[in-house]
Order: sequence, then structure tokens, then C-alpha cells
Amino acid sequence: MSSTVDTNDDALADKPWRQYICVACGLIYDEREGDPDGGLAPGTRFADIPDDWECPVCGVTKKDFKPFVKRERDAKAPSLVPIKGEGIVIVGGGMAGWAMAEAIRERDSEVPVIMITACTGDRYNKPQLSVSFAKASGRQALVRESAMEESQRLGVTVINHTFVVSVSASLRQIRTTRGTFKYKKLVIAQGSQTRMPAELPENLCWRINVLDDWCTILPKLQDAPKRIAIVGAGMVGCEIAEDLSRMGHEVYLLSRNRFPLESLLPEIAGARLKSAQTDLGIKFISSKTIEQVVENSDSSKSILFSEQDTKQFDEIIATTGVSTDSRIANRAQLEFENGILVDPDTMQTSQQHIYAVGDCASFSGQCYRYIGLIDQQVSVVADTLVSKSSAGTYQNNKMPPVVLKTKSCPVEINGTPDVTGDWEVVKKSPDYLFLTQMRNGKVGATISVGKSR
Amino acid sequence: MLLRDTIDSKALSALQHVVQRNQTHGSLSKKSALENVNIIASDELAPRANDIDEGYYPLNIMSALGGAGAFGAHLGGSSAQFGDAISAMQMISRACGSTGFLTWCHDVCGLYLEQSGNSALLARLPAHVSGETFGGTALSNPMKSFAGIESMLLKAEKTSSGYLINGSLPWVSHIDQGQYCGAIAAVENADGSHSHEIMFLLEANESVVLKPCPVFSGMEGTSTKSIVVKNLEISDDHIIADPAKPFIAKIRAAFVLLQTGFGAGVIEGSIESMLEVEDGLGHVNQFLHNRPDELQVEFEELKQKLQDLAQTPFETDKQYVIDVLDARAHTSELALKASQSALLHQGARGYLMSSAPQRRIREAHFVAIVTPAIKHLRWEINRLMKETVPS
Repeated sequence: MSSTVDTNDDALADKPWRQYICVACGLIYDEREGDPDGGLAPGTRFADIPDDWECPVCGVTKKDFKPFVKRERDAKAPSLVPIKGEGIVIVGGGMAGWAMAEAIRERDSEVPVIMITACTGDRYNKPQLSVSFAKASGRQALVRESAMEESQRLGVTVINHTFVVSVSASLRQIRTTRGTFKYKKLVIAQGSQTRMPAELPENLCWRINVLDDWCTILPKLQDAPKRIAIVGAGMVGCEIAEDLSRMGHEVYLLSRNRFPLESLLPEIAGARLKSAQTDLGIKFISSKTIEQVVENSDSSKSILFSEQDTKQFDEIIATTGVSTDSRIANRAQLEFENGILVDPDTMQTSQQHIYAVGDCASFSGQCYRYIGLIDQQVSVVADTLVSKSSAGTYQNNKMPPVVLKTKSCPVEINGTPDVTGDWEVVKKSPDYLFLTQMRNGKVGATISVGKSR
Repeated sequence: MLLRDTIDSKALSALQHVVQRNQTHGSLSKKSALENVNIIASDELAPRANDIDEGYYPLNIMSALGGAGAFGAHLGGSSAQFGDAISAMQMISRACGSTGFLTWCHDVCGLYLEQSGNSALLARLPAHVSGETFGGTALSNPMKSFAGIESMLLKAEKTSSGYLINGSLPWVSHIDQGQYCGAIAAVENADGSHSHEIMFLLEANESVVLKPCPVFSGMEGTSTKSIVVKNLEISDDHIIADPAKPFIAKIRAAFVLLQTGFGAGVIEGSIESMLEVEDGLGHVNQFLHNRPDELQVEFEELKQKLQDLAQTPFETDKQYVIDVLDARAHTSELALKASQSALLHQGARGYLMSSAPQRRIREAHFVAIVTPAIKHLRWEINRLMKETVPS
């Protein structure tokens, strides 16, 4: 790492600049760059950051950051040409796919690794998609490293813009739109896709699930203020609503529920969020069911509600939650329940030699779609696949906090809350609300809404 | 568009004929139909395979195969057995790839006639199925056109009595004077734009000039010609579907799935050629990759997949269509792999001009390049798997 020592004249620079990663959203704080928007001048050492400084993306504080160590390749560079039938194939080039590739390379510099991904494979921080329309100018602002750079750094063959069509577990063969590959071990990191209800036609409603989606819609949002409907008031819907509202768009947040985040928050907390959104100019349309979406002759779209009323928009964005596509799992005869079922200790699927990590992995029917869980999952798989030492065990016991990255009214949920259960109000001021939920005599979950200062 | 509301009695009896044939060949006696096909393939077809490869168009053997029930298993509505049609084609193709391909051409033409619901076309079905008349398919260009790969070559002009067809197609197989094929033309408006497409039975009569194609590296007995159509009049009796697109959407999977029987026969024949020399050459052949046992495992898995897909040939669900396209691509890939390995296993013996392995190398390449070629299949799967986004 010595090559990364900065030689500028800053007296502090006699030590290399270090980077720290946010465990909630994956943002990297680089001491060299600081966080000028957050009041940290370039060159601010992590140790000198005040405790109340907030992650510029998700709003957690300094305590939720840990040192970030970029995994370097060993000097012995493996050939980029895969050795037939001997390699590890990773399906998916998102955060979990790349984390998997890194974890393998950390342990073994020679085993051939092929990554097959439907997208470009550029590395970016997915949670930023929903909060970056206002401040990012284009693709380059979000890409941390291109697929090409990552491929060379890690010695991974990237086959991008390629769909996996089917997998044969018995032949250990993976069929794609760019040919058929053999694998020794297969890791599925296919991620999740936006769940599109039948009443939202794909040709009329945008989804913002991957960087390519984000890049496609961005120019439409940059040219002029628009009337935008965001369908679904979950985490992503709330974040995008705030982001687009700050860009000057007329934003409507549509929900079947009475208040935003109803599946996560008790009403007292949800009402605070809703009121903050209203203050920003977001129009929350609650308790509405969409019947149909049609395109008008001027290319605007009309939403018809089941109450028979109609509303017209320039763009519609579906933030209706995510699900795991079952195609690969079905074709490979993997057990599937909301996601690809994995052994919670080893991340192995129901088929030998096939593993699943990240959003697509299902633990007895439950998918935990948190960035913060990926590292440990890929470590366990990498230990099993390439480590000479005994394999680690994945213990899915500590849930990372759920952080709603809305600046107007940040929300943080810790623990495992039962929404319908009782909550105790611990702190309550006009700007801040702190709730706790007791379980077996201990604090089982907490929710904070707003800013404590 | 499909089965028209009124099917006249002539057409009905034609359908019943096919149903009856399938029932006779069904369950207990089904085996004997396939057995008969197998006997003709081994005894009559296999010895002529090289002649056919070099240019002999085996209509006499096609007649015999039709008589044995090789061309009708996939017809007859609810009694249709697509799996058996694929199996029959595989047996024929194992003996001779060219005739396996002719069988596919003939089978899909039967499918067009039946699915048209047009009584005039249904009436022609019994003679077609039994191999008394012959017809194939000219959908290579339209299929690529619908997938956005090429533009449509035949044009139709509306007339008072039907349509007038003009244009030319570069290569159509299983065609000759007095024979016919399913074809598609774009209907032109007065201003040159296209309103829609029609599908019709193109009869090779005096308005159709058949020209020999340049010499191909193999499969010369498939009677593949370029056809030039000048002012061919089409009446209602020729219409398979108007408009054509919904019809194609319905039969597309069946069209592609049936073709796998042709490739499967090449694979099976190749594996047999490897086993043929195992006693004498096994001690050195063990150092080759793609050994017969390995290929057999993959082939068995593929055959099972094909038989599973053959249960619902008219399914239009996107995931099913992708599976069919993928199974077709898999057939091509395995045919290439198996035919090459067969030649390596046989060595100089397989390189003789008279040997089956060298012929199958060329047959396998045809499996891989004929529409839908591997690249077309992947193009289409890619198109289907992409998410639709607003414009």
C-alpha cells in the first residue's frame, strides 16, 4: 500500500491517508478528500472528525464507520483466460458479486474467477442511487471503479451485458447469452429486482434498481421541473421523493397506506416523517389503490385510481419493493422461498457447489437486503471455496441498523422491531422522537426520527 | 385468427383423419410407429446418407417415412404428441441429417396447415402428413425480420380477390415445382409503407421461378433453391394467417422446438460413431476430451428437457419461450461438440469422404447456422430478458 502515501505538503501527510467505510450504506470516507459539504476540510483525519458528524449519504454517525482496506492482488497474477471447468463463476456484478470476488482473491490469487453480469459491472454504491439525483451529474459521479479496472486489479474475467439463461447443477454448466461456461463452484449474487404489480406497465413506469436505470432516467429529470409520481412509500420511495423534490420537481408520493414506511414504523413516527415531507413540498397521496396507468397523446401518463379519479404526471417511478427473480434458481433446481434458500451456516444452496450471497439469499424464506451483511456472507463462502484453513460460519444474528437517508427527517431503526407491538416514547421534542420497544425485559428495538440537536 | 368459427365438413374430416392416425399410432401402437420409422431410417435412409448429402433429394424415402407415421405425431389437436415428433425426427436425422432437416421442414408446414384453421388448407393435410405431397417452410427471413435482424423480402399487394405477391427469397429448402411452402409477405400500402404481414401457402407454380443455389458444403439433397416470385396471386384458400404476427407468436415455440429433433439425431449419431471404435481405439481415445460417456450424460439431460418442453408447445409465456430458445441453442452447441469429437475419436477413418463423422461435422454446422442460428437465439433471448423501460 506504500504507493498510496500522499506526498503533498500537508504536515499530517507523513502518514498515508486512510479510508473508512460506512457499515450502513457503504460510503467511503477518504481522509484526503474530507467531506467539504459536511464541514470537513480535505485532509481531515478520521480521528479528528467530531462525533456528531453524519455520513453524507445515510446520516449515521462516526461510530458506524470502520477502516476500509482495499484488497490488493497478490503479485502472482493469474491468467485472465479461465481454465476450463476449474474456476469459480460469480453470477452478478453488483455489490455482493464484487465483494465475493474480493474475498476470494484475498485468500487465493490463482483460482480462475469469472464474473457474469447482466449490467456493465461498474462498481458503485447502490444505496446512493436513491439520494443522488440532485447532486450527481452523471454516471462518473457514482462509479467508484469501472468493471475494467476492477477486473484487472482482482484478476477476474468479467463477462458483462450477459444474461444467465440456465444452470445445470449436474453438468456444472452455466448457459448464457454469450456462450456456455463450466464451473467448479458457482456463487449466485444476482441481487433483486423491482417488483412490478400488473397495473404498472413496464413501458410507462421507471424503476431505479441499478445504476443503468439511474443513468437512463437522469436526463429526463435534469431538463425541466416535472410532475413526478413515486409509487410506493417505502425506504427507496421516501428517499427518491425527497431527492427529486430538492431538484425542484413537483413530487407526489403515492401509497396504499396512511403514512410513509407504514410497514416499519408506528404511526407516531410515520406521522413525523410525513409532515417533514409535506414541509418539503412533497404531496403524499395516501390510502390509494392504482387501477391502471395509461399514456396520453402528449406522452404524459395518467394514473386511474380505484375510486375512479385520475391524476396526470410527466413521469412515474415505481418504488414498489423488490423481489428475487426465480429463473436461475428454478432452472438449477435450487430450493426457493422468496429468495434462494441457503444454509445459514455456510450460504450453500440446496445444490452442492452452488452458493448464494447478498439480496438473493433467503434464510428460511426471509431475505435480509442489507449492505452491512454482505461482508460476512462472502467471507464464509470464500473460506469454503478456497481457504486452506477450516471454513468460517455465517451467523446471521446482528442486524445492521435500517437508515432512511432523508435529510429532512432521518430515521434510524435498530434491533428487530415488531411494528404492531407497543412502543415507549423516550424522547420527544418538535424535531426529534426516540422510541424503544421492550422484549423479555430488554430493549429489543429502537427508532429515532428527526435530528437530536 | 386460429380455428375459425366455421370449419366445413371437408376440413373436419381431414382433422379427424389426423386425430385417428395419432390414436392408431397412439399409446400401445405408438411404439410401433416409431419403430417403423426407425427401421426405414436404418435400412433405407442410412445407406443413402452420403448420396443425399451430395445432392440426391430423397422424396421416395420421405414418402415411406410419411406412410410409417413420421410426420404427424405433432398434429391432431389434443391428441398431438410433440415429443414423439421430435423423437421420430431424431431417428431420421441420426441416419441422415439432410433428411432429418427435410422432416422438420415438412413437419412445420403440416403445423401451418393445421393451425391455419383454413378449411381449404386443412383439406390438404392428410396427403401432406402421409408423404403424398411435399412442402416446407420459407420463414427464415420473416422470423429474422420479426426479431429485428433483417427486413422482409416478400411484398404483398391487396387485390379485389386476395393478394398479389412479389419478391425473392435466397434459400428455401424442400421445395420443387409442384410443391409448396409456408411464406410471409409484408402488405404494402400505396405509399410504400407496410400495414401488416400475411402468411400464406406459396405454391411453386408458373409464377414462381426456382433457381439452384451455389453449391453448399453439405446437405445438398435438401432441394434448397432461391425463389423468385412474380405476380403470384393468393386467394383466401391460401391464407394461413392474416395478420401473420399473432399466428407466429402462437406457433413460434413449436416451430423452434420441433427443430431440435434434427440436431438431436446428429448428436446421437456422433456418440454412436465414437462407441463404434471404442474397442479398437479406446486405449488412445481415453486421452480425448468430450468422451462418449460424458456427452451421453449431457445428451440425456437435454433430451429430457426437450420432452418436458414438448408437453406445452403452444405456451406463449416468456419464460417458456426463453427455455425453448435455449434448448435449441444447447442442441446446436452439443451437436458441434459431439460431431467434432466423433471425428477425433475415429481418426483417419472418420476423415474419409465416405465416413459418417465427417458428414456429421457439416450437418452439425448446419444445425448451428440454420435459422434460428446460435447467434439469433442468443440475440432473441437477450431481447426477451431485458427489462422494458419507458422511452
